[in-house]
Amino acid sequence: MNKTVTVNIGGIVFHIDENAYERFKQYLESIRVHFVGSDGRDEIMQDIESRIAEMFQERIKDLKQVITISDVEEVTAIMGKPEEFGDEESKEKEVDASEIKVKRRLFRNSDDKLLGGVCSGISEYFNLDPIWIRLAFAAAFFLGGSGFLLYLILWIIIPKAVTTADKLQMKGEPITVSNIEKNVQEEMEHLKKKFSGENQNRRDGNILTRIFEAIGQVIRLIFKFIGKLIAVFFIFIGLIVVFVMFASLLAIFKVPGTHYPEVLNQIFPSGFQFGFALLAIMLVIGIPFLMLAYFGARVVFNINKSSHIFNISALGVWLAAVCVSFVLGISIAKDFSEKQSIRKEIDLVQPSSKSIHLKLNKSREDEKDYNLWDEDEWDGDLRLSLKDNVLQSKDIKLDIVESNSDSFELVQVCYARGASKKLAAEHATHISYSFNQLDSVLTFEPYFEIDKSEKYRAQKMQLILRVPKGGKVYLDNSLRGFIYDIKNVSNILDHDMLKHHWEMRENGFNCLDCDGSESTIETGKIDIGNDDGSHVQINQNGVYIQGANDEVVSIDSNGVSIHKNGRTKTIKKGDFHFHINEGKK
Amino acid sequence: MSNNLENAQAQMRRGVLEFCILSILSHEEVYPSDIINRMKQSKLIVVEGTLYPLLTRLKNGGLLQYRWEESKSGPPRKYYSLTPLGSKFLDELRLTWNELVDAVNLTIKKPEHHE
Repeated sequence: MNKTVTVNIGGIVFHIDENAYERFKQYLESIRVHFVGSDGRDEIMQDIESRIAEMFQERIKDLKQVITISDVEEVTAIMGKPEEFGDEESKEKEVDASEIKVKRRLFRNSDDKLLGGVCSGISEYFNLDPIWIRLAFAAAFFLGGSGFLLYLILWIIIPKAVTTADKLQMKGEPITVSNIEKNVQEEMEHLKKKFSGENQNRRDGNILTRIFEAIGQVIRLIFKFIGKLIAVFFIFIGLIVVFVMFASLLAIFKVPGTHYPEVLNQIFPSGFQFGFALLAIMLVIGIPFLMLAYFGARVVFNINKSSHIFNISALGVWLAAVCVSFVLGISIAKDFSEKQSIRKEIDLVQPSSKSIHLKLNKSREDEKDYNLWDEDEWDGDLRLSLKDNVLQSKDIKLDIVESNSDSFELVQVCYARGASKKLAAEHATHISYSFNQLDSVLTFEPYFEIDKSEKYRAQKMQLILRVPKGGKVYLDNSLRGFIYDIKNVSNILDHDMLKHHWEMRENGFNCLDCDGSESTIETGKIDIGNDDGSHVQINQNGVYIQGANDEVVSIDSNGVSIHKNGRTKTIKKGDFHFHINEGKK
Repeated sequence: MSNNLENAQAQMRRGVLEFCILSILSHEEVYPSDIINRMKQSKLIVVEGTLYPLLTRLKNGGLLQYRWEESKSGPPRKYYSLTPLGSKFLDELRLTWNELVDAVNLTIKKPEHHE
């Protein structure tokens, strides 16, 4: 008894014994390999198949419906083995092919794989047992997951061994007709063994092995499922990032009512460079995510073949984008490399009462603007004024020092960066700032403006108000965040200096109406007082903590001492005894 | 030594084979099996497989053309015939062949004359 297979040869249906089919398939494969590289291979194959179909047809009679192995043998004998064809050209080709074979090629081995066949492919390449490569990858997985990443990359890069010729190249065996035949036969035997082996197991294997097999299958399924889930996640992440990037690119050019690119233009050296930088950064970020999505799609849809041209060109574009970003980054950094400042004395009208009232012009604060960095939470320094459409910065610091002369003086120091000291100085001169003086009331603008023709070069401004001895100053609450680190006798912090009157005296800047509740700080000293009389002091002498009821804990050069209810306990230096009386406060 | 011989024989056979095929085709439109049958008689072809690559090459070279014809006993058949270029090629081949036969005959006979 023989199982038959139905085949279509040259457009005609034949029933053919299974063993005869195998023989016939092998024969056709050997011819196909023989004509590798010939122009008319497909046509030759077609002609030969047609002729064979005709010969098979001649051998079928009413009583004999099936092609047997002897039929195949007869027909192939008539047609002849490829070696007997005696076609000079193809013989030369065969020699060529056998010369190439010596070079092994790296393929993913789909015949022996756990995931993508990467490890077993590598082991074929180096002629090792795949277990060692797999162990190495598994170990590398615990090195920050680098093994996993590497595996993914290799999975994408290395092609899968699809044809018999690929598999031979992978094993470094010559691609000859006989080798292909051998390989095909091996594969068949392997398959048969697998089938019969499984049957054997099912028959002979005890319950335990069957349970293990089942568990193995379930685990494999679970892994497959998790893999697909991760792949879907990859697609999701990849597409979202790419989409968001495109959306934001559109948004940049489409913010209603603004000329955003124009402002960015002030930051980048030129529009050309700006476009390049934007594109390069998009590509640097976008391509990995796009590839992630692509990889995910391949896993989800079981697409084994990865497009080499796509992969390599993506890698190329990405590397180019990285280079461009790098070069642009350097050129932009260079434009910020040097710092220079310009000092300008500003004439003040001397107030009649020798006292001055300082405040900030808040009327423009609520003006509709477009903050370049963050609209709500973090109030950045740069903003784009919608009214004048100019770049403004509020990187201004006001300091108050003692004047050498007998009058109030204002000094404006503009800082900017540039590719050279000279350029930086030039940038610094193109800052416009205004303030308003109405006798004793000095109103500062919160922003200075950067000229439209000018680039953003980290422009900053410092205002220094010089107060003569005996001169009085009132700091309005609107100056919050505007004054910076003003030295005063009581070391009161900036924000608590507001809403107070100050006077410049011989010993420095004195507060006239402070009540002592202000926070103060000195370098390396902390002094906090509370309403109930408790007090914490940390300075170079040590730590001193005083409670509301006159109890004191101090740590200083004398040692540690605790004072309570008129009694003092001190642990002196070198004194190691320590008693704790329980129940006693 | 045997390798060289084989090579020479194969080369000779190949040239002659093309000439024969073209000659057969010059008389009538034929189906490859007919060619094979005629050539098997003259033992020029041992296996049929030899013929198909040869026909394909000649066709791709523009010397042959074919048309399809339905067949009762199998797939449709290709019937080959010579193209004008093919017949011109054949004429020249024939000329060369005749010259060659004469020359070879003359060369082979020479030693006999000497003796």
